[in-house]
Amino acid sequence: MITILGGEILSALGEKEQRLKHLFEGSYKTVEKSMNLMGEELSFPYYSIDEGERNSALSIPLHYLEDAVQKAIDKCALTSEELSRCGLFVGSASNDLSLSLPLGKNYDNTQLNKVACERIGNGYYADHLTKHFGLHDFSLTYNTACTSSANALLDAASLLEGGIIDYALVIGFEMFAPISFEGFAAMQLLSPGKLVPFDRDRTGIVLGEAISALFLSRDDVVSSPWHFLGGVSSCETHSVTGANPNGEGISQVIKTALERTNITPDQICGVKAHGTASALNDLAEINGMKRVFSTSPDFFSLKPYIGHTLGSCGSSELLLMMECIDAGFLPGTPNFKNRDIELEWTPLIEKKSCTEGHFLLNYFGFGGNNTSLVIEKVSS
Amino acid sequence: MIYVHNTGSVTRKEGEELDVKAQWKTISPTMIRRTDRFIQLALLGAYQAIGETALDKDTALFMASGQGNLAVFKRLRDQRYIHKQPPKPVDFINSLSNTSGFYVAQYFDLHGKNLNVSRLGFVAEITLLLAQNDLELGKEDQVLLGGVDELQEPATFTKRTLGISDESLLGEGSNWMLLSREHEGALATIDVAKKKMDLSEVKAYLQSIDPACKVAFGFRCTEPMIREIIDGEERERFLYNEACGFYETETLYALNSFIKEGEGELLFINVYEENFRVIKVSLLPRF
Amino acid sequence: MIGSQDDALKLRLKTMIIEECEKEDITPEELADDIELFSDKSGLELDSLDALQISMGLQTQFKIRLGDSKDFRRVVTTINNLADFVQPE
Repeated sequence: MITILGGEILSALGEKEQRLKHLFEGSYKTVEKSMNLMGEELSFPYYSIDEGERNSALSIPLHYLEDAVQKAIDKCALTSEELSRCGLFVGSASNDLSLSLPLGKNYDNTQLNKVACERIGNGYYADHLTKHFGLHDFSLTYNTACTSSANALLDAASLLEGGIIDYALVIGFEMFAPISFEGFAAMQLLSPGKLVPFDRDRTGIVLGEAISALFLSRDDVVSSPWHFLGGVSSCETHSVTGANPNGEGISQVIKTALERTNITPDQICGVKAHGTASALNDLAEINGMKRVFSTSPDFFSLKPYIGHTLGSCGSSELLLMMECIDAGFLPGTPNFKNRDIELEWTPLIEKKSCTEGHFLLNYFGFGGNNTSLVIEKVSS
Repeated sequence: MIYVHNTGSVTRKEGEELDVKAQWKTISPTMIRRTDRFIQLALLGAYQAIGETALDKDTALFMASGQGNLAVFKRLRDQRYIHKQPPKPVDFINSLSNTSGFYVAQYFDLHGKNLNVSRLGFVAEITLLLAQNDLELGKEDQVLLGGVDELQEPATFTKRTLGISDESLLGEGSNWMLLSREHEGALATIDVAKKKMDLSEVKAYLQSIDPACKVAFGFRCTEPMIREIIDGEERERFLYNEACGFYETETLYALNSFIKEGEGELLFINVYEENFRVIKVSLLPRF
Repeated sequence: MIGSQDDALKLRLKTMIIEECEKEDITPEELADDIELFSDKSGLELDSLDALQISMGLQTQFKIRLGDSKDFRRVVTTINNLADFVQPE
């Protein structure tokens, strides 16, 4: 049995006490970020870890990563011997940072300055963290868009099960990246206002940054009331930009995840929806769930709290959900007002009491990548 | 222990030409639009391994890269910093690494797990270990595993970002293998060592295995290091690097070359920083 | 001159569309002025991603910004219609 030990998250919700207050009350904080699109100033809301301006340098994200991991280590009280048996699984869509930052400084590829001589590659951050914290040599960085850290979780569980490692550190990592921000604007996917999942008047995503660090283990090593039962990741080749709106691919991945973990749909106490508030993604997710659940389960989206944190949402939203349930509730979905007649089903608007049970987590991304995870909390 | 059923490689070294687009266009004239050279390189390599064979739809796809699609980042960088333009939607989508895997899955009609993974060193070794673990646990029945790295000009800049000497010869390649637990019809077995080793461990390991087993070394292994590991032993070396030049996923080229041209067994030894990792390949009798 | 009368402008628009949508097998001459670009009749087989690419091409090459997909559908119908929008007089 794979156990989830807990961890830490840096996001727009702040420290744990503040974060739980937001999740309990259904409140959140955004900042305005502007971009210059062909001479035109545009402004969009954004969920920022902090409000200060940052330099764009490769070393900046490292400070945040080290901070999140150190806090997670402290919280789980892991020793250096235990860390040496801990593999690392980093999920991130932002190769933007590790690739474009050093490239961006070398417009013509000729200035062989200090940054240029540093290694470039998506494995940059994992390599640093393994050395810095003395982790086990097994590390991989996952780049599967919005399912990155959800897929990292699945493989962490698999390596733990195979006995190659005894602990796993899963990191969801997404920080503000200009090309990504402008890319989503060019795709016309950014909401100019609020992020309103599953609402009739939803207008698109609001991006956010989050770094989560989560430790997993096996029950023969460390027990925990939280169990990672498993899940499924699959690829739907309908369209490069997302799932089939008829819900075919999504229902398949949810169904298989439940089958493989021997859980029936009526055992699910709550669904953490992907809930991006983009017109087609929400439609696809509801259509997918309708093919599996005969009546609407309690479902909610965490994106109105921390934004769409892309590759980070896998572990970040899992951690937030665990913190809510540990505090005795399933969170409501802020901003929701109007039922969409095409969707019919509506998310939890108000928080709901919940302390244990089986839960489903959905993640869908570009490249047709769909992932569903099943976890449980037992009474401790 | 896992079994290799198909292999396929596309590779070239610095100074040679490889018109990926023209080659891919003869295979799939419709999948040219929106795919860039990196994606086409992935497709072309996978095609060498699979061809027109229909794979089980649940086959997992693990694509590894040391560098990722750097070319698309250079395009996005130039659009942003030089031309002051926002990213073109197609480039933006292609900058999400798993887009390459999407097109490979679409071409071969695969609906299973589709991963894009990277690592600074040992990317092929660790991805093979991941596949071996998933197959052994029964999480997957079959894995199409590939490594893709594209040569970036100017070469001097790339060599420095890769941490290799200016005199080294760069290469690029797309190397794929179809792996499963099924023995029937397999070309070879692969056994990926689960742990890293230090120099003395790798020496001891090499001495412990059959003297007939050949040995090959990754590009980062220097000749003095190789002499130290072999330690005067009379062991035949499998030399594959003449054809390929350096790229992060060249391990897969070495293994594929041995499976295609070699005989008996091979121990592939690679180094990154102070650590070694080894993979053993045993060819199976062909009937 | 109104755009639909300006052959040079229409050629530039056609070239831009073919380039942005990577329709290498179609020449600008083959693209008729009065065919709905996003219909089956155009032979272009365009989708929503092509619309975004064209939108970007209009912005970078013609300094025309179409705010959202509604604006786009109103303006980018036929080459003639698009040319008139780009160059109203």
